[in-house]
Amino acid sequence: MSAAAVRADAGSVPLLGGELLGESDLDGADRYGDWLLPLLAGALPAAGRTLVLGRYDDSLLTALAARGTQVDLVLRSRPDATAARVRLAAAGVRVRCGGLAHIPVETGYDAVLAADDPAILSGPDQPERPWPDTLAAIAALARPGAPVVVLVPNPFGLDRLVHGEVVGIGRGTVSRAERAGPDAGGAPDGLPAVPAALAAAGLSLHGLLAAYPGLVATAAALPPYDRAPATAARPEHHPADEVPARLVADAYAAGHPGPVLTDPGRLAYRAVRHGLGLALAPSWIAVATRADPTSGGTGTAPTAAADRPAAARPASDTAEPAVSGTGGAAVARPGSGTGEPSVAPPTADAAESVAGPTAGAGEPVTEERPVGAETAAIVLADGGRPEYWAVPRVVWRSGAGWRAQPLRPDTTVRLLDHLRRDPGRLAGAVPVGESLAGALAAACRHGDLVAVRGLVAGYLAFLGAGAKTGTWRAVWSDDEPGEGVLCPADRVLATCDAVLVGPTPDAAARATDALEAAPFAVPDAARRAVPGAGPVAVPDAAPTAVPDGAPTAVPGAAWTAVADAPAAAGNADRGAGDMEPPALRLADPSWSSGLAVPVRLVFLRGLQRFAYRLLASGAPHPWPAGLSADRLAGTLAATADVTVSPGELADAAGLAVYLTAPLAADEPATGADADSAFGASPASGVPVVAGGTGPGEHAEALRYAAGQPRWAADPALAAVPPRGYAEALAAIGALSAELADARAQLGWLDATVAERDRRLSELGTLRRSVTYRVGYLATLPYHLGIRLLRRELRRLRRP
Amino acid sequence: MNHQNHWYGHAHVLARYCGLAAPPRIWGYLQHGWNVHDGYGADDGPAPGVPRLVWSDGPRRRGMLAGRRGYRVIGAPFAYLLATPEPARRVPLSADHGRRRRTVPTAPGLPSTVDGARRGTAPASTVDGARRGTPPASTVDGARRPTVPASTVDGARRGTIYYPFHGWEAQAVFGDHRALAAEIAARAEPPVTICLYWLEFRHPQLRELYESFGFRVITHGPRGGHYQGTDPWFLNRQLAELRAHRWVAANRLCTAVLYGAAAGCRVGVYGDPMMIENEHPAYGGIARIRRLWPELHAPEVDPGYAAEVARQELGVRHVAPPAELADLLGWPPLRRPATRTESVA
Repeated sequence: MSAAAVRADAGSVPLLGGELLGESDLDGADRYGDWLLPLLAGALPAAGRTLVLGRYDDSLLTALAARGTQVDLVLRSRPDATAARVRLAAAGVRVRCGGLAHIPVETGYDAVLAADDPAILSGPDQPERPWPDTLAAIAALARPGAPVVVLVPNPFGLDRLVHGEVVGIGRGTVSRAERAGPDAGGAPDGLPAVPAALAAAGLSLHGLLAAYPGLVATAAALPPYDRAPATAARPEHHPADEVPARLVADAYAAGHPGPVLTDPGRLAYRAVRHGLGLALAPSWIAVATRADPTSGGTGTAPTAAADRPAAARPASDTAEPAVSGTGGAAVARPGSGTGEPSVAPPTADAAESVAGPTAGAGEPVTEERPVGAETAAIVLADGGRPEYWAVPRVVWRSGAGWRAQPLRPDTTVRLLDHLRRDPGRLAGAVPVGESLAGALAAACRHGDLVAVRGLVAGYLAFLGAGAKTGTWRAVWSDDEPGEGVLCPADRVLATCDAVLVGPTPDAAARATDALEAAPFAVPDAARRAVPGAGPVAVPDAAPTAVPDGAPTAVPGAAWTAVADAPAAAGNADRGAGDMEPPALRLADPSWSSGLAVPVRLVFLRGLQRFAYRLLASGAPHPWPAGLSADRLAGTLAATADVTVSPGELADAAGLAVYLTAPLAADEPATGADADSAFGASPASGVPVVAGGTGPGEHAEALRYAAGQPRWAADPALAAVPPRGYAEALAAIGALSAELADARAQLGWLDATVAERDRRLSELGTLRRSVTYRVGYLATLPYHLGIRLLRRELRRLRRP
Repeated sequence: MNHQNHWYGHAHVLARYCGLAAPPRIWGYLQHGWNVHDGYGADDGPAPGVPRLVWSDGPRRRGMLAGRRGYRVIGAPFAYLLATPEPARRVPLSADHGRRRRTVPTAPGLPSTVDGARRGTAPASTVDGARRGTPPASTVDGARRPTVPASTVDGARRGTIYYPFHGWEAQAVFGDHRALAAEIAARAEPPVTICLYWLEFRHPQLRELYESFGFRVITHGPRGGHYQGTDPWFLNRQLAELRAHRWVAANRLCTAVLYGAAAGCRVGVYGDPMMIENEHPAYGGIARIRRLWPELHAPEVDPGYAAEVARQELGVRHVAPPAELADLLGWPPLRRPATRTESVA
């Protein structure tokens, strides 16, 4: 972009043409930040000029500029551009405002990054055009041979399955490609069509990344489930296989707070487990190179172009795409090209060569972190929280397990009010296991009370492992002091979603080669804690020996274990050999709270939240329909032999409100509007949340606390409508069945009452019988005498 | 909800397990005996929309397949009895004061019966011995008796307790008791206790028939009905009786055999299984039970296997903690000291 083409206005953003003068494109959603770079840094040059199109988190632009390139940011909205110019001036980012068609081409950029929705790159001054044309326009801005990173919409991604046909409604924009439809030359028809679509725009594809909200993964990180036969290094069905599915499901569910067709988290989880994590990603980020027209033209297949960048640009080694090796065929079956690289742990050499250029460019990279599209790696934004708390990190496969590393060099402990976050505890092996909430929901779905019992009792024991007696002040309710067993600091925030149920550390150690990270070890007390039950995976084992009255059951054991773990150790022999109790561990061990909270309240708060979400999800469960969340929480607590009082339930709801409330310094600029429906601050539109919680959690806690007193009085108010249409249908089915039963029961009761009436009337006929009358006459004097006596007594008693 | 919940004192066992003196009303139909159908009688199932509280997963599966709903697998009351701590399980002496007892509870192996029974099977001599030793066999109303048979004073298990298959008030059983008694005498480890159903116990001829073989004849008493005549300690007494014997045996696989296996007895199923009148085809008859558990139909059953089947059929793994049991039965939340001191409210 030459100086002549841009009107250099000192006080304002240079306008290129086709801009939006008054409207803003900011919608409060999280955008790609610097956490995206570990997967792209290899592809982007560390010098020259980089063109960035669309909306991003400032951290991404700052990081790009810090690498030594001249960054030009082009936004179509003038208010956005003006604000960005002020924010990014210090970083040296040049901000321009205008439509895609008005960006001057000239010699072309050394790199182009367009990972935002293609629909917002042009304003209404240009006619709408299909996605391929937009793509071609973006590609034309790069010089031949330069890397182009571009967002490829997936017309048949999870969004389509979760939202139905109307993709994007309520989430900002409806992309042009969607409206045009694939037949009209819109977005590519699935994964196999992507290379050809890019080739048509003059781009040769090197790698596709699966782009989920707040999470981007390489193809190798989401391999098909039915991968090659087990090898010694990669045993089949390793528990760590679950890690990418869980991370994607969490990220995807957090990105869909509104009404949906079906539960987004479960759908995403199943998709990844089935090896469809890449094919069904909501969109893809394509890492491509603009083909050089002088050496074969734009029509060349990616096969021809595949070898080129490796020789021309050493840096692109690391971004060698999983899908480009053998062209379209490999794209159709990502697993075939990517399955094996994930088997071999990255060698020291590879890690070093990868880390070299990126570290040199100012990225906070540690030498152990491997980067590149070929590596099974996932980057997490850790989004939805105020910047202060966020710890974006990269997660990569290491042997059979997964390891994580915070991206930013600053790993000092964050502290605010009672909350504390230690990013250092996120480095190392990623905890393995299914979330406790998921495991509990599955047990409820199958009506398996034994499994529910084991999980809930295990949860209680986990919360209380290592607990000490102490005093607290009930800041969450009436400020009264109390004394009892306090929850350890790192578990105060451990809701059912924040706890993982996995194999015991022993089992994990056998398979995972990287378990030296001490923070992930599970205390003994938690391991033995589950009496009478095992993980869901063990269906029908008989845990106890009956003869001669050995205590069979659970009663009380879990709770006594909380206060005094060694005392209950005698219980451990019960299940020995029969089944391995599940081990519980924290999904994110970095959070802790300095608040003194009794274990029971943390336990109840976890159960209340699970119960509320279970009912709201419309998932089947073995208890009567129309149950209130509080009632269900009480029932769940009873499975661990804990009887709760209404006062405790109210306190637990108050605790949830307190723990999820935004802290004073969380969002200093706008101030927290805690009472607004979705916890959003009206000024910025950015969700205001407390550390350690997702958006909307505070609002949920408030709704719960507000609804609680009414549930007790009127159970009809208790039902939470399901969010997903599929779940709503299931809930209707369950309610219909219960209604039919209730009607049948009315009929039965009616018949029973009629039968009783008939018997009563038989007594009436008895009074008319001759024998009765004879007897009555015989005893008449006594009757009369008693009657008279009574009358006299009444008269005497009267004043 | 249903007076059958009180049969055999089942509701009382569950109440004591929860630390309650008397059982509140149970919202649901408690399965009252081992059942190879859907947990309930084929003719009189529970009222619609009322929870079906069954012992094990088998009845639930069979019932669900037949389109029934509302199952809660809670485990058998006997499993709860085994899970109840010993002090709460002991039958209080006051429970025997002034009760009308129909049983003649001489202990197995008492000297009076020993000479006949131990020697084996000569009916003529044992008749004599039995008659000499036993108190008047008919009924000893209001008699105080040891709740635990004398043989267990030293803690040793002895002999065999045999449960001949019985009918009930509405269904009679046909079979040759003399042949059965002879087979028991030939096979069972002495001393032998015959436990008759209370209806059959009322027939002196039947009692005397078994006594003539030198057997000790008892009954656990009536199961109660319409909240009348319920013995709240029925199962406790049965457990004590079972624990006094080394073997439990019957001519059909039945609830008592499973109880015995769960109480640590060795198991035998032998003898003429007899016939019951008007058996409902839904149960599939004795042949079906033989097909399902062939290993259990032998004079000497593998103890490990028998205990495993008992655990399955009595739903031992489904035994819920007291608080949850109260919740499942629709009882008010338990008020326990531990809960109150921990409460912050």
